[in-house]
Amino acid sequence: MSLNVAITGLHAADNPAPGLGVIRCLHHPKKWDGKIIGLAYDVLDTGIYDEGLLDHAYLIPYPNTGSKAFLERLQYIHQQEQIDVIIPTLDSELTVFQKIAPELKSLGIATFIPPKHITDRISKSQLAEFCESENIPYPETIVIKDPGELKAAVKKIGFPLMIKGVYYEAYTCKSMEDVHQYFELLRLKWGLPMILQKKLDSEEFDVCCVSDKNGDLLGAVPIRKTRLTDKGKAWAAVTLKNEQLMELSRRILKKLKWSGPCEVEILKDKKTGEYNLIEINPRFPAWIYLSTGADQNLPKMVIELAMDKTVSPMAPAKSGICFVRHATDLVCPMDYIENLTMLGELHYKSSE
Amino acid sequence: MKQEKKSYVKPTIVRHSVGVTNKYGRPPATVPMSRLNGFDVKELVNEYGSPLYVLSVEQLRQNYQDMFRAFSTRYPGARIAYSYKTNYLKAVCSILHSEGALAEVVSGFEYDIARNLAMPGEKIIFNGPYKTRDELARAFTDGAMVNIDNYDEIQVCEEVADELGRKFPVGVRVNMDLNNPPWHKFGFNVEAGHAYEAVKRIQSGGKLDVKGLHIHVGTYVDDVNIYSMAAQGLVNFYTVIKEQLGIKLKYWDMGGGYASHNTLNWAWQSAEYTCPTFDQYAEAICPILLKGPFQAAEAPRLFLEPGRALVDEPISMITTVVSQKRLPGGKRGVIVDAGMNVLSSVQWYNYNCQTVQDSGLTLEDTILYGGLCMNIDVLRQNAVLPPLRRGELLVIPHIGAYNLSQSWQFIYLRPAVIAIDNGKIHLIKASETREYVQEMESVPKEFNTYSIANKN
Amino acid sequence: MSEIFKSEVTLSENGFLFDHGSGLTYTLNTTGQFIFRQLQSGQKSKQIMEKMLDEFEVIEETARKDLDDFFRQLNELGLIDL
Ligand SMILES: Cc1ncc(COP(=O)(O)O)c(C=O)c1O
Repeated sequence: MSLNVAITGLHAADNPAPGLGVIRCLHHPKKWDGKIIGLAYDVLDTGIYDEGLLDHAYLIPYPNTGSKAFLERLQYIHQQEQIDVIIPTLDSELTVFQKIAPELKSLGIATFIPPKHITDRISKSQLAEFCESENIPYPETIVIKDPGELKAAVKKIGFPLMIKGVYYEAYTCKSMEDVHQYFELLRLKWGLPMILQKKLDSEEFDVCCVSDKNGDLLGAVPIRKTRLTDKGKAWAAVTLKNEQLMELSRRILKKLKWSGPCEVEILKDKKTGEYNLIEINPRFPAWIYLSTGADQNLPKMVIELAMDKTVSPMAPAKSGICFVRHATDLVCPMDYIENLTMLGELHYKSSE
Repeated sequence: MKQEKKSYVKPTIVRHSVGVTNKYGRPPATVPMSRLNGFDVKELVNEYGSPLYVLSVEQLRQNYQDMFRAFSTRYPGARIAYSYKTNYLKAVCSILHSEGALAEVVSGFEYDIARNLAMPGEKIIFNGPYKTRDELARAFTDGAMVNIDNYDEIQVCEEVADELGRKFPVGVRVNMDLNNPPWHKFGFNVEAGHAYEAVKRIQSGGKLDVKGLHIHVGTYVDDVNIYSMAAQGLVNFYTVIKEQLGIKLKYWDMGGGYASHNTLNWAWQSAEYTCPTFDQYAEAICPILLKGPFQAAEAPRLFLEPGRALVDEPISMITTVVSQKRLPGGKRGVIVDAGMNVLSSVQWYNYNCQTVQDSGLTLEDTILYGGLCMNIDVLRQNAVLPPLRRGELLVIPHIGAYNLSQSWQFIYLRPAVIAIDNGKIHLIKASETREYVQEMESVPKEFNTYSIANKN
Repeated sequence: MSEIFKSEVTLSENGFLFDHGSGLTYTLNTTGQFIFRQLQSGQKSKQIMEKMLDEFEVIEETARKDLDDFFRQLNELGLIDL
């Protein structure tokens, strides 16, 4: 059956969004049967101009514009392109998609994302509580709600430690001066609460997972990032065979009853050898295309799940597969930019 | 030959920059809001002047009913005491009282407004850190619920009780370490043991009787967990004072702070996604309180003291563009006739601005300035608006909380307030006049030589 | 092309303007496009005024003020030399 799939997160500049990787998975091993519709937030979202990947591109409102405007725009695009499934890939979109999921469903558009009460449990300020109550190992964490608590918390955790904003940004602190400096910086930007976390002498691993509506793990690709950009994003990585990573991920998703894709970030404490959960990103990672090499096409699996198919667990990912991120320049005529700017959409001829 | 002419919009050219190139990326400020609660916006301004506050009575009643239903269906007998400070226009208070709201007041002035609106004492909750001896005496005599804030006040209350020769029931305001920054200014801290000490002290004095507990966790608190923690804290505290001091509560009061549908200036997400519903607040509070140390028949009465959650939404402001200019750097500035003196919450809220007339689809990043002669008078640092001409109107919705009660008179007269109810307009506050503003002033004769000399 | 423009400009049918000299792009609304095309065909501001009054439902006072504003803006954006 040919399905029309819409995907967000098309901007791949210095901090690539996952949408393009998802699309490339769909085109693997051969070109996707239905239409691929790119949903972009800016005329210069780079992926729009990767001609072979998309059939159509549309601009959509930012989620903060309001769910009504967001839904209306998707309705319009649906009328043009008959969308079967949407795969959102950005953290900032999750709430709006959770909110409009019922309306999308009644329009005949499927999504496969976890509900809000589940994603709330893994928010930065709630995660420690979740780990505590479900007996999941995690680095010692204190959530700071009042500047007055800072000193005692630092004393309790000790150096080095990580200081994290509620939504974004994290810094390593080695001294009280560092703590004060970053505390002020994060407070201005993101306010409180703030998260203090012990920085373990550790190795970092990521597992891209997909689980079904009971939270049962169906596919997972564990990796080690072998090279990072100065922003800490993966630029090279290798897939692993590691039962402990798999086991911990499986346990976490089952406890959460997670349904959908996610990226689980895990640290292995060099001293104790223990695996600790540090974060769960409620979406595919930007390196998701690597999953095709490991014989686990997780985006295709999510589409099956969205279409309510029964999906059985995949064989373990193939280990020893690598990826290197490679930036390239795309060339296009001014017409493309004009179309998107003036009409908010772009249609590639090849798809007609 | 006469040809049909095209309709006209002001010519514009907008340079493309990041963010502006997505024509779908912006709030629909360009969908003109030509009518407000069924009336033509221009006509309202023609009749009542600009700027103008407009109250939707229907929306106000609806908010009250929604909140009342959410709480009273989960906690039998729950009551709403409207927080006067949010907006104490007599008409607004009256509408809420007619729906069944009690009055929550924090000063003698507000107390007086409530009594003047025929609220009986027993329907008034008297809070706040500063109540005078006379006000306390009056409140006790009237049978109002008085929530004590500090030790000095315990002392004064006892003296008043002595004078009146009776023992009076009182509530105790407590605070807990729940949020940031914690509201330690008000009441007695539970964690530090101050609240327990205060209750013990009041009981041992023998002149007052602790019958209520009050907490108010903050304002615009959009995290329902904070309410759950506060509710649990009250339950725990009640259990302790019941067992150890034999206290039996008649009421507990969860205060206000429920968020309204406005987005805070520094918020990461729009309030649409973060502002809980009344049902969510009620669900976070009521089931926990109901597990308190009592049989169902002895459940303390639950009070809520909402302010902004009731009155923010129902009031809009209409304002007029007085000028549009280019700032160095190319950004557009628009000045309107309402300043932060009548919209003080611009410090907190990123208010929406709706155009009234159809100004075309070209949008531009704009600094929206208020009309005061003060550089800080900025209503929005970044509003995305179509071209606007002098005389055109903007509607700023959801501004009913605090903007009126905290307004200050500065260089202009403050605007009128109208209420729209069932298709009828009522003037509920006329715009100020110079005479009204100067009514309490006088000029001693000795200062007045200039005007006397120039009279003839 | 009229000599008033500082460099070559292309205005598309739907109001997208590309300045070949600077590489910048702009959006013009319908009235903006109308005036811009008049400029491209070498009309002077007085003639443009008359055409505007013919074409649109607008009074002279408004049109004059708006036209002034518009020219000033084109000048500030470095598109024309007043
Ligand atoms: C004691 C008390 N109750 C209620 C309120 C009303 O608060 P809100 O408007 O946030 O609901 C306040 C406001 O500060 C208050 O101090």
